[in-house]
Amino acid sequence: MNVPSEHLFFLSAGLFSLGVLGFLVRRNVIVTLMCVELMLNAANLAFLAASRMHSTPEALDVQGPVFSIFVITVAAAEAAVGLALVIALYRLKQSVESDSASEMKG
Amino acid sequence: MSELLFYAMAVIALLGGLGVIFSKSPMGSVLSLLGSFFALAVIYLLAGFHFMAAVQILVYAGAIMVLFLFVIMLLNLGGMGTRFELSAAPLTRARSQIAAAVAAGVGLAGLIAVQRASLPRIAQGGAPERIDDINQIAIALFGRYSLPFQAVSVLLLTTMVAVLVLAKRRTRESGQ
Amino acid sequence: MNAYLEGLRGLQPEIVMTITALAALVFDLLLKGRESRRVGYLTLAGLAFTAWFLLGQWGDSAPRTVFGMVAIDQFGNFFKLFTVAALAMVVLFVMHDQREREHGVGEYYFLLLGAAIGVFFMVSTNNLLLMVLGFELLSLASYSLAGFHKGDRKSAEAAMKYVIFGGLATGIMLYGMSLLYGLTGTIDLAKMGVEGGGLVTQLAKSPVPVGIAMVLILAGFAYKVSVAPFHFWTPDVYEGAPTPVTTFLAVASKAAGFGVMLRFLGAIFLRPGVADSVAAYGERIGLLLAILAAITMTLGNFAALRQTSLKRMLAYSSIAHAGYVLIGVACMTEQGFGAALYYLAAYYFMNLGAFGFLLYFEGVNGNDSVESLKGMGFKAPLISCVMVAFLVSLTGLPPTVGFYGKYLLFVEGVNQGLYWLVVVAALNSVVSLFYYLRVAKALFLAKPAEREAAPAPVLTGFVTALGVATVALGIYVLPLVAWAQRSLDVLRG
Repeated sequence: MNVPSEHLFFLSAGLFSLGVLGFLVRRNVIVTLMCVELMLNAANLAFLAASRMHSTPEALDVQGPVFSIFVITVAAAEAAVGLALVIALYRLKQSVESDSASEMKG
Repeated sequence: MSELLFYAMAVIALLGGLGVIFSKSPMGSVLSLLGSFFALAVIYLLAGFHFMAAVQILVYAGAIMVLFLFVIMLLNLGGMGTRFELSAAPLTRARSQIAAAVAAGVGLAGLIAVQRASLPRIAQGGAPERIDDINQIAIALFGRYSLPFQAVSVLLLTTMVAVLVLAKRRTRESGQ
Repeated sequence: MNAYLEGLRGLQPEIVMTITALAALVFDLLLKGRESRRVGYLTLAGLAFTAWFLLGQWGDSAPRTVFGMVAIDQFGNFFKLFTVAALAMVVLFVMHDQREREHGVGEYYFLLLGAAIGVFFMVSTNNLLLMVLGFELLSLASYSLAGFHKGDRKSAEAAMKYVIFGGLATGIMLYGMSLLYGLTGTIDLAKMGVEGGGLVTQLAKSPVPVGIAMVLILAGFAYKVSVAPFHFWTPDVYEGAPTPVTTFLAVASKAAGFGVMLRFLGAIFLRPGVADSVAAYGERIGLLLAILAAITMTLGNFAALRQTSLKRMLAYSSIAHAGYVLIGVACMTEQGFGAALYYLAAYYFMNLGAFGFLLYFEGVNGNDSVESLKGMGFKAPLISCVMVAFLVSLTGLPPTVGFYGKYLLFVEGVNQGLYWLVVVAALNSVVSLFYYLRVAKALFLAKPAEREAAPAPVLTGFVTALGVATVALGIYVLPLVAWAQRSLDVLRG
């Protein structure tokens, strides 16, 4: 593939800003968590793009792929905890709107 | 040819991201996100990260998204339509404009960061595509990065306990 | 093989901690959830062992790196001992909290230990990967701890807020790290800023890309220590979480956040052999942090003025204190970092004590409004007097440990030419006097309400000990100062 690594970075920036946008405009907790996943994916893509850039034909720069494997693990853990809380909260109030999750006022 | 495929997949990934934000039901969001992840997996494949492409599909699409789907179905949120759409929350014009500005600013920052950096040029003729990346990743994971690999086991165990604590039905507490 | 064993020896405290956590989990299963206090004793024993190994490492002072990424040095040791001490106090709080006792769940201790293992990794590594893993371990355990009272809506909502904003912070931080890795070609902080490192090349072309990556990464850390504009989760989470957990978040988790921030900045900008352009760039990052410090302390203090709940007031006060500590970070000098460390140590005594009092007070009263504090000073004179000492220290008046901490921060701020910041901080201290004094006034200057003070001798004892330390270390300051300064030896290399 003869695409410059910069373009992978650009795609990653696009995905990241979509994640931020979704995080800010959506109220549904589950969708918000999905937007976080989107951001983590953007980071992953950037890690791989960086690794591609710093690799030579002889040696792969493994830091990027290794980092992104761990990012995927972290993303899974974060999703699991978030969704467990969604279930706990749902049991309490039968709703998952983050707006209604504001009994306390800032 | 592969360049064309890359740009097509990039567009699909971005459209999937948009789908997550603008679809009416959580179910639609999950499916859009899934599409985005698959497109990314293809991009990883094209960029020569074959193992990462497999992990992306197995772990992300196969496990994490299934978890999302599972919770949505468990709580029966998929068909609840309008209760979860954008207008249900008081999303004012000003608020969404600010959100869009922030998001655009972050994205632009990312673009500028790459644009103005001095990055190493990839040799003419394209980046090398390897099929033995799994080999090198495995050697790194069990060699140089063996400590994070073990630390992550503590992280996963903690997550497991944390999730159990949160999602388990209350037994000993008296409900408030 | 020998190198591997040598590495394991360096990780003894972490290993002991992990074994303790596993033992606590299994022990809780064997007890089938009854008598979970015994799990607490087990945890305390494990913490004592950990501290023993840490003190052993304190003795052999030559900094070294094991597994290529964990630095065994005084700096990490400072924060590890700090965490162990804070955790031990929190465990004692849990064991003597009447409300926790009925929940009686042993997973509490496991999650606390898991969070501490995360802290251990994040404060002692120069490798971004391990830093992220430690950070996440701490975060994930904290999310769950914040939502530990499942029957309680506030607790569940607090945890939800924490998870969602925590996810955002993690996403931003990881994206920043991916950019930094792309720019420098390494995830080892120690290799970035030195002559010939990636940062030098980048700064030679343009400072903007590095700045963007740095800001994104620091945003993640700022979230953890609740620095503006990433502080808004703090009051809600602190209020909703069970009080011992709030104590853990306000003391150990916040200190760990500063630990990782100092480690990150120190490893890049302050290490010996750092390139001139990189060091100069560090000062610009310091200016950014100085601005954030001013905003943070002002927001925290003015919001605290309006609070009626003691717990929420302490939450806002902890935001303000994050601002004070940030002064030391913003100096971007060894002395500044030392002052920040000293202030964190001071913060340990006074804030832990204040939260201990809050716990006692909640046990007596069932609620935590400042209004219902009235007359407590006559019902429970000892603990109330000690609380006044904590309040004086939090304000930063002599003869307490908080005063000397602020003094060190201000002196270094002036030395670095951050006059405006020191003026803002001094004015803020005056503002904080109002709301701290309001608590003291409610304790002693109001008519006592009819209420019996429940005796909680053990809790009172711990809080009193912390109070004595707060005053004694404020008078006899040298040991703590020496400790904080010695912890920075690693920066001298």
